[in-house]
Amino acid sequence: MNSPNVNHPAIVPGESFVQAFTRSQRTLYLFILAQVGDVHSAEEILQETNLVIWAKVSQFQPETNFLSWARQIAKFEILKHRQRFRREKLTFSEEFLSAVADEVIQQSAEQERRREALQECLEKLQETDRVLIQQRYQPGHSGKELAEQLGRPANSVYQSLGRIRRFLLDCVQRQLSSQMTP
Amino acid sequence: MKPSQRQQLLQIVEALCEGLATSDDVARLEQLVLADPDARRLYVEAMALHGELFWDAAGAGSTDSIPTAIAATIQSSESPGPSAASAARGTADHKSWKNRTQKPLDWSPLDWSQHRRLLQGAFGTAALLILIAFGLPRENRSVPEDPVGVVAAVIENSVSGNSMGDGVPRGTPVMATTAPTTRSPATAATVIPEITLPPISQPVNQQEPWVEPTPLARVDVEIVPKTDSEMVRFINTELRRLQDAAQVKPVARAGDAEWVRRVYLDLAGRIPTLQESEVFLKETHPEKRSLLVDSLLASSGFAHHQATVWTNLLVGRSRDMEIRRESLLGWLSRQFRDNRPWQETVEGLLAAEGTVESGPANFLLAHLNNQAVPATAIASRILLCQQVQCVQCHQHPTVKGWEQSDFWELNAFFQQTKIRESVVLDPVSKRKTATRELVNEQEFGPTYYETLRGVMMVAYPRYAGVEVMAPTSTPLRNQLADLLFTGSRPQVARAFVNRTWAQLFGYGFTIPLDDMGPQTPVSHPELLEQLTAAFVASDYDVKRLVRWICLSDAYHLDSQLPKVRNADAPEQGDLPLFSRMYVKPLTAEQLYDSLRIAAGGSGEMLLSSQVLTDRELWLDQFYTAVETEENGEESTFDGTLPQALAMINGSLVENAVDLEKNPMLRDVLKTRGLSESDRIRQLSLAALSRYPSPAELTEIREMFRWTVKQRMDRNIPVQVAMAEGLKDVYWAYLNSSEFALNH
Repeated sequence: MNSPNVNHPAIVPGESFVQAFTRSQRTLYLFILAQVGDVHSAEEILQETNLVIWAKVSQFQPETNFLSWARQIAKFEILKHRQRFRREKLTFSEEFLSAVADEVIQQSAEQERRREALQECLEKLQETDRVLIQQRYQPGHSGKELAEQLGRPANSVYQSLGRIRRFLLDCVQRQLSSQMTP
Repeated sequence: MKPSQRQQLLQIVEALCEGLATSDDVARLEQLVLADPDARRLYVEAMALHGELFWDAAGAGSTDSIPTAIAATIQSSESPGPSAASAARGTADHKSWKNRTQKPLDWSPLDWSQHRRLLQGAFGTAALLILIAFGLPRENRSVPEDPVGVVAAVIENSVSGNSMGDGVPRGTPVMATTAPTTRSPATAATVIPEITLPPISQPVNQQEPWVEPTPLARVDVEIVPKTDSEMVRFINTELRRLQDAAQVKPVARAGDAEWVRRVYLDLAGRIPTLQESEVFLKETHPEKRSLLVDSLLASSGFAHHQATVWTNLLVGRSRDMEIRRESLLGWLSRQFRDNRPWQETVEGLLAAEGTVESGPANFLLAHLNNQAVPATAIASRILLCQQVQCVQCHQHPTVKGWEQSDFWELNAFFQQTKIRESVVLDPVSKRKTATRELVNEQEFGPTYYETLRGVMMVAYPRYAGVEVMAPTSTPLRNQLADLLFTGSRPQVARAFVNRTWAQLFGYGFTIPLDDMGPQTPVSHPELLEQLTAAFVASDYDVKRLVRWICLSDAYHLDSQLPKVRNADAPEQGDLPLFSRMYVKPLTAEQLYDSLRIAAGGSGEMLLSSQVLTDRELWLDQFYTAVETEENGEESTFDGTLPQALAMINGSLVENAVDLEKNPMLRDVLKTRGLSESDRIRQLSLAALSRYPSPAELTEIREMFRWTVKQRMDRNIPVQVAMAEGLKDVYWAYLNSSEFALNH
């Protein structure tokens, strides 16, 4: 009509885009987390990244790799986030970020197997440990709150959690290496 | 990597995970990671483990399937997890929860509510309904403050030429708690892409007004809002100006509880779920209301609700007509979902050809009877808000210039169109079925009518002074559609603005809404004209219009009548001043959908074809079509006895209070460790989206205890008596008049 500035680009993302988007979420989250070190900041950055992804739907070329495109966006968002919180939060150097980013990309091929291994390893935990780690990762919980809830000294809870996470890490590593050398 | 380094690195990661790391730790970590590839690998592995645990526990990414649009949006307001992907699990939730109960320690991704239940199942030892206030482990995720930088980022990304609806893609995991997908803080102010609105200088129409009050013809609007935020401010200023003139002060702002129910009913056609209300009430984001508006606008629920409203307007609710309402509903729903310009939708309706399977064709298939008189009258009344049916037989009694010929000249546009009935063989069922198809004929003539003096007259297709020369290659109805949209403020746009405003406020700018002739005074002529001009300039952007209205101050006002009655009393026939939110009765569809939500359903579920079919059947009991010159219908859904009985005795309410059928209710009743008051508060929230007032709670508890005692006197075990008592409370909430109103 009378408004040249308003147009309606038909941005109705295709099925494959939505699928790729959905599938990328976990991977992107882990990509971001390794570079910021804080689960909540990583969440925020993921959301910001998603905003950009959706705003740029039209710019995405279907034949290209969705994930590397999305990672580019995420990288940019991480830098922005870092800029913003430089004074109040711990931040990593850019050198560190790029080294870690490369490492995450290298490892991403085994992400799926890693996740399956983690499931199995969780089952190998002693029941009390499993309950503890579940509680720790219950939404909104931190180790400190958990300690308060359990009436245990925070330090001892941290120690238990550290022990459990280390067990899981070793266990996952073992699982993966045993798969590679059958 | 030396074992000591490995040890050190893991310790730092631990500190990082628990938020205890110092800047020294970070420096040391960088040193280790940058120096040694093994350390780098270990660091990334450890963080991945932490992330996986967090991600799954937070209920985010368990399934990698596609979140549907509605699921994502709905989840957006109920899940505090890192993303909305878990929404994809949808209705399977309850099944999986059943399995969980048997294996409560199975580590699997759960959504947060299940997670909560699971933990309580595992640790709760309190007996059912013990009156202690253990309280739920509440979600207490803090909301990230959106510093200016985020806003800037969002602007940067949304300004790239997208208009409202398109900038908000469906399926986007819109988060209520973290960063919003749609528009962001300080919303109206900055985030909106600029639009250019044309200046309004020429008079709206040439007709002389018949009544004086506020004729549109005289309205010249000088100030032209250029952005969405300016538009919103313009609405606020205009409303305030007329309120001041009438010495009416707007009431206070509505509380979150009242508002969240309102906006869900208005934009999604249903009440919020218990979780959606809870999440919204707890949310502390300063812009949470506008964020919710945007996320609802982006949802399929909005498209579905808007399509329902318009299907009812266009073809009525009764199923007696030989059309396929579903196909019209589906088509409209897609139009609204993709935020197609209103112009395109109207053209689609007016110019449609095809069978009942083609969505838009159903409009005229329903109304082409009786020489297309209903089609003429209804198209005019619904799409143009002009009542021309009386001019059919004689000159308009009050509007000078509305002649009998006007009606028939409009009618003549439909004379090229016929309904072709044929019998086709269904390839699947091998049965012969009759189909009706809307076709444009090659040969057609003008229309004839009789004046009051008994003289036969002929009318050729003509609208707004433009006569269409027939025959041409363009069908008449397409030409009509073009004519309707000529000018910078065509009536069809003004009518849509008026209807949309009325849909959200209960009253439009004119009373009656659909009689906008020059004889009808307009409450806010400048505002109506400006909105119309802006709506046209935005290329008939429906979502944007709704957004302007929903972000205006008036939409956030309380619905309580002020203590001292003032001049703002549209229910008495006065022009509305919008100094408070007017109470709207729920439509039949809103009531049905809300009861399904109250029965533990989700917004996503309401879109399933099964629920839609059920809804149509339920509605059918209230509506009967009357095939007249206006193709009206009769309704018993009017707050009287039939409606009351359908509520009180109907299976809808019955299902809602059935523990077997309503998982939400079961949850509220059986979750261990909740006090009696907690449970009543939850029931109130589920039904009315608000917590009971202290006085209300006291009374309900008294009554509740009385019923428990009554039942126990009849040797009913205490647990059963208490569960039954709570079901009674819920039943009462659902049958309250508050439930049947949008306030």
